[in-house]
Amino acid sequence: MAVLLQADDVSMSFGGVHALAGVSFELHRGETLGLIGPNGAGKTTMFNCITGVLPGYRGHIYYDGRDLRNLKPHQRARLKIARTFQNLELFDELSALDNLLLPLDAFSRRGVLGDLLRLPRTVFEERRAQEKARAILHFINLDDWADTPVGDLPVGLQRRLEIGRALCLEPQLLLLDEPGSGLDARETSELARLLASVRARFKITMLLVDHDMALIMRICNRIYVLDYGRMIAEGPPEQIRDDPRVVRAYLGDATATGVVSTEPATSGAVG
Amino acid sequence: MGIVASANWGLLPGYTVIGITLGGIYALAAIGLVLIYRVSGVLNFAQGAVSMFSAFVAYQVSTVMGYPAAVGLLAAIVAGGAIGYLIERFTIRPLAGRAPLSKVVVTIGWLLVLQTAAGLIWGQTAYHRPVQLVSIQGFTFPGTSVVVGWDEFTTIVVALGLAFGTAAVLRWTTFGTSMRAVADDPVAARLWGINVNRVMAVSWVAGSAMGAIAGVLITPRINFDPISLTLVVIDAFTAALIGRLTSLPWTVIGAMFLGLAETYPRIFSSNAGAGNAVTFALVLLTLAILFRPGTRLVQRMAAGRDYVPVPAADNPPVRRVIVAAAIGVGIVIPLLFSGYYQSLAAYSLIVGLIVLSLVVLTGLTGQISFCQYSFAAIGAFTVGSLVGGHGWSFWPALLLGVICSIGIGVLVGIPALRLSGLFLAILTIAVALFFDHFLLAPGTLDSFSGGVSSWTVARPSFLGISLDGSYAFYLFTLAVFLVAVLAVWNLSRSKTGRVLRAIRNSEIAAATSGVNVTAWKLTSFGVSAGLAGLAGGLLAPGIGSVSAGAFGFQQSLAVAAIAIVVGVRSVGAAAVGGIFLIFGPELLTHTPISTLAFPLIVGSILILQVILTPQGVVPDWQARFRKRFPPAPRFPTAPEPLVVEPMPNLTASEAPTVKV
Repeated sequence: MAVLLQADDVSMSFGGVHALAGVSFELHRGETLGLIGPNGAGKTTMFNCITGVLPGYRGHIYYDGRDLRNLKPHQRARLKIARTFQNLELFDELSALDNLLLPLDAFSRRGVLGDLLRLPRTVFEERRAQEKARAILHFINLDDWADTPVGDLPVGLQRRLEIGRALCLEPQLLLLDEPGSGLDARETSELARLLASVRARFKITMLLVDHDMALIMRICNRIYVLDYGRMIAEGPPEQIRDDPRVVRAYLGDATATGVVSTEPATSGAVG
Repeated sequence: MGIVASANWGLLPGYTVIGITLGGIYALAAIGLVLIYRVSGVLNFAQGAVSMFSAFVAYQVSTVMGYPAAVGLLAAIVAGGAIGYLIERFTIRPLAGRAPLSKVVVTIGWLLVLQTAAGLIWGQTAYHRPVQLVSIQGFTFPGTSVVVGWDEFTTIVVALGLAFGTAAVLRWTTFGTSMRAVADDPVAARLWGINVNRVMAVSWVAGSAMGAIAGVLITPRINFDPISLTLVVIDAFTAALIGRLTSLPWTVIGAMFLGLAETYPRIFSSNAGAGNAVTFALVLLTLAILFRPGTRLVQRMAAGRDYVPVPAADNPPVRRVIVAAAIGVGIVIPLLFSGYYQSLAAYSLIVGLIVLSLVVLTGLTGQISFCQYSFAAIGAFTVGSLVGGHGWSFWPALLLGVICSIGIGVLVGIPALRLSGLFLAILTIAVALFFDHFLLAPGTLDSFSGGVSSWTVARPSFLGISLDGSYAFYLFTLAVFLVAVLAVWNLSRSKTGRVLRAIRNSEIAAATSGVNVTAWKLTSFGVSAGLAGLAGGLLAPGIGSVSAGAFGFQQSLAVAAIAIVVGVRSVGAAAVGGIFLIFGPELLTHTPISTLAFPLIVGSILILQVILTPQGVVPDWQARFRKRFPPAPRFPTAPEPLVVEPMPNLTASEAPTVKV
């Protein structure tokens, strides 16, 4: 399989803290990769480096064979890299539909003048974009909330909407930063189903960060484990589950086994 | 070289003393500011106004009523503390949990109220004999020939004493610790048993009392009138910014530096505004150097946010009827009135354009601006100097004026990229003062500003129709206004509007969704400045002449206040704002109240409105109206649903039911 994203010896420090210390990994086209690790392991930092939110990392990140180093966040988005945020970054005052329209707006090339004068092209493009956003809204099953300001929606729906907004970018690569945090068991199960159908329908390569082992095990083809800014393990879910280094990273040395859930149906949040 | 050669270096030691004394006064004003900011998180734009009002109380007690100067100072301190308490207790405390900017707007309301009240009581421009606390007799500084006045010496000692005293209280006393705890996290502090309200009230009282001392001390040194004294807050801001709004020692150093930097240019230049240019440059420099994105302070600014949802879709047929009726009234009613009122109506629509420019910048992008009249001035003076000075025809001059305004708007937008909220407010005030006191002041750029005289601009003709008559010109401004409103409305409901609102909500999410945040922010500054410039260009033939007094900081402040009162998120509010701002004082002439009281009314309404209807008056009406006439659904016919493919890895018991 072709490599879509390749991190090569990526390091990032804040003051004296090494959030990432020489992390390398490869993400193949079409696969769903899990990135796990205890809190503070550097997972979100990795996302921020990939999407350009944090400039100034050392090392290289290649996307589709291209070094991302000098690209601004919006330029990376135009390369079809989409992401969600651990702490939900929706446009709270905009309606659900307008939230979905935004990536489409960002990609449209028309300027201010066309909007000021409401030229025919504006009207046409608005209609097209609305249809597209409407379809995604239907896909994430939020039709009934189209006109609701999203700040008013419960967290579960907001998480789904954020995934929907990322989908509107028509991404090749989707980065999901703890999509399951703050969700109850039922919502998590719905999320798993949504992610599975996203993968099936849109053929998107996904990189998933979460603490919910059941979710990760259920969706991911392969898992990387980060701890203190280093990659400590890599492999298919079954192998990772039994890897002593992973267990140690999560639980420390004293306790050893049985806590990392082996039952896919229970949603044991670890870490 | 000529400048340096003409400098009189013999003045240097004397100016150093003057500069350090000025710095001491700025430090006093800034310490109060920093104390209030550190504890309550509110940047008090009324700090200068409180100083001013207290200084006038001292003036009343000592100069007018004849008590000793010390009694006057005491009265000023009591008055300052009392005003500080009133502000905190009744207008800041009810806003707990609201965005910092709302609180700032309230303090701007207080600025207007106090300034206008002082003007009404003690006279806006009359000469006031300052309260001289300490003898101006001096001593020769040991080892030099420099004479230092005892008043100057006292000022410096008091400033340093209060600065380090306050720092010591914050650092080493229990109450200081609880102040710092409240500053860090009011909610947690409350849970740990700290009386947060009391701590905040104390900080406001103490900070305002210090402001009062600064006010009394500064009166012998600057024009003792309500406006000049109020603007001392800008220098205090600059000093406080150098101390990152937190460090008191650095604030003092910054204040001294600022005092010297404002004084030394007088060695080279007779232009009184040169000091203001220095202040402006310092504000810009400090903001640029200290406030890089990601510093803790900026994050704290972003923490609170007023949550105001975008109005739901409205009801188009009803809206059309209302808009058509409003236009009809707008065309017919002025016919019933005299030419004077028709001219006023035209004027109010032009001011409405400036309010509209704030709808774009503040309403959509969420960037505050207190320098819209400076953008308007670019348009007005371009038209004025080209038509009045070089005999250009009006229309090309107007076009050039708008283009220049857009350019300046983008230039102002560049430092604004890194700033938001409070710091942007400070920046734009600095821009406005830079225009007001330097660029447009006589002697700086007379070929543009006209110097002491004003430019005369005759009303042009449009497509062969003369716009000389009041009604003809009014109709023309009405047409321009309607086109501009339509354009901004188009903007707000299509891509541009969504993108700008998205940037206001979350820059990081907008960027990762593919939005070039930098370009769009600059665009919004450009569009906004262009609209203001258009208004300025129309104002030139509207009034018939262009002079600097009509484009001051006070006007910018008033228009921003009005825009917030009527509702800066609503396009329809622009017309209401313009009419209110122009016809309000006109209405007052028919009452016993002086028209000079108008800013006081505006300020009071502003304070009440922020507390009672945060969205603004017009959006509030609109919301009520929409309840009466509910909107039609946006999509009458839903598009074909997508077929969701069966999902892998699922057992029958977990059949997809993604219903909520």
